[in-house]
Parts: sequence; structure tokens; C-alpha cells
Amino acid sequence: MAAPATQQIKIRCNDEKEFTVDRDVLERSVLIKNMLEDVTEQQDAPIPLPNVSGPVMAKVLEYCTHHRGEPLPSADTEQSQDETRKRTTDISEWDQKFITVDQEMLFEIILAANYLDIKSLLDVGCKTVANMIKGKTPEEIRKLFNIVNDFTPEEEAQIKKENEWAEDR
Amino acid sequence: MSKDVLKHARAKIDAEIQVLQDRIRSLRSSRNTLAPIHRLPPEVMTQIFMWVQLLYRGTLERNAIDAAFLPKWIRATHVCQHWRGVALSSKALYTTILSQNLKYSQAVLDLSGSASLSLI
Repeated sequence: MAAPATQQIKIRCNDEKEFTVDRDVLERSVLIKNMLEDVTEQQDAPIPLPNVSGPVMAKVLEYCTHHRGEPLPSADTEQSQDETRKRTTDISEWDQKFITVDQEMLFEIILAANYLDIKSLLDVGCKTVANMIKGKTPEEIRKLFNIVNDFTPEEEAQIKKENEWAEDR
Repeated sequence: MSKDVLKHARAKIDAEIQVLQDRIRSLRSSRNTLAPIHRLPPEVMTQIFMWVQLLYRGTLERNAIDAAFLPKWIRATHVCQHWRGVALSSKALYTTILSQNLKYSQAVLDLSGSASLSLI
């Protein structure tokens, strides 16, 4: 018996790039899932995604396709899921390879995951940045992210005090 | 030159230095807004800081004596004014009191607001 046809949904990014994607892949995004649930009739017009560009959406879809079929967090279990997520600082091998991109793309993926409400992808992005920060001095972190020290002398004095107990072990 | 004239001249130069130093700091802050990571909104930065905490605490879970590693996350608040501002206003980051580190625990109490606390 033939498998039931999967509904295909069209989306349009802010650079006019369009994608036609299986509905279950797109529904990894809670934002799009809710939009699709609100639409009762078959719609041919693409869903506009004004905050995501084509190249970033291509990466997001790569992630969503790989993780299709995995359980999504539901509203009533969100808190307990959050607790579970918080305990898992590891990133799977596939996700690590997926998120090995330049900083520009990394932050674009995080922004897209936040906008599209894809919690697992947001976690992968945030954990990756956290791993980049962990173990580094403030100066090393600044160098890594192209940031400069803009503290006032008063703030510097407070930071010096905090360093005393932050390094106290 | 009399002492008064010298004193006045020095004060004038010091005031100019102060203005220029403030201007430099302001330019440094403006430069930071161009860093790609600064595009992330405060709620996402807060999540990143929470993961940094958890990565340090991860060491704690594997080795009971390493509770003292947790305060090291505070280094992330020593990077720039923007990160510090986000971190200091995110009560969710201040939920764990360390019995071994009273100064850190005091800071947690000061910043936690009404958030529930746990003791290690």
C-alpha cells in the first residue's frame, strides 16, 4: 500500500528565496506549526518569513529534516522539558558537525531558531556559544567575539572585587 | 606662573582628559554594537549565560569538590557593559547559593529578587 502523500508547504524568506518543504519538517518550528493550524483551507501562497534569509533557512531546514519525527516539547510539559534540557550540556555528533559554521552564520542560526521557535536548535546554538566562552578570560572572550573593553573605572573596580571571589577556590 | 594659575590650568586639562576618556568609552561601546554576537537579544544572551553556568556545574556533577567552579561563569559579565547589563538584570542566573563561597552567595542573594534558590 502506498504511503499517504505528505503535504508540501511553501515558504518565502526575506530575500525572496522560496522553499517547498514537507509539512512535518516545517512543523519543527512552533511558529510555523501554529500558523498552519490557524489556516483551515489549503493555501497556495507561500508563508512569508521576514526575519530569515534563504541561506540561513537552508541550514535550518537541514536541521529540521535531520530531526523530523522527534517529539516536540508541548506547552504543558515545557517546564519539565526545560529541566531535562538544562541537564544535558552535551551536543550530539551530528549537531556538532551541523553547527560548525562561521560566527556570522552561527548567530544567524540562533536568531532564526529563536524567531521560528525551534527550542532544540536554539539550545544547540546557545550551548555552542557557551562552550566557546567557558574556560576563557574576559580578554580572550573579547578577542574571540571582536568586543572591546568599555567599562568605566567604577565598573572596573567592582569587577576586580568580583574576581576575588570568582577565582576563590 | 602663580600656584593658582597652575592649579587652574591643570584642572582644565584634567577636565578635558575626562571628557575625552568618556568619549573613548562611548566609542568603544558603539564599536561593540557592530560585533555579530551583539545581534543576539538579551533573552538569548541570558540562555547562553545559563549554559555557561551549567558547563561549569557539569564539572561539579562529575566531581563533588568542584562546586567552587560555578562562580567562574561571572567572568562572562566582565567582558563588556552590554553583557554585564544583561547578566545583572537576569534574575534566573542567580539561583544557586554556595556554602563554600559566601561572597558569591551574597551576590546571588542581592541579585536573585524573588527567584527560588538552591544551596550547594
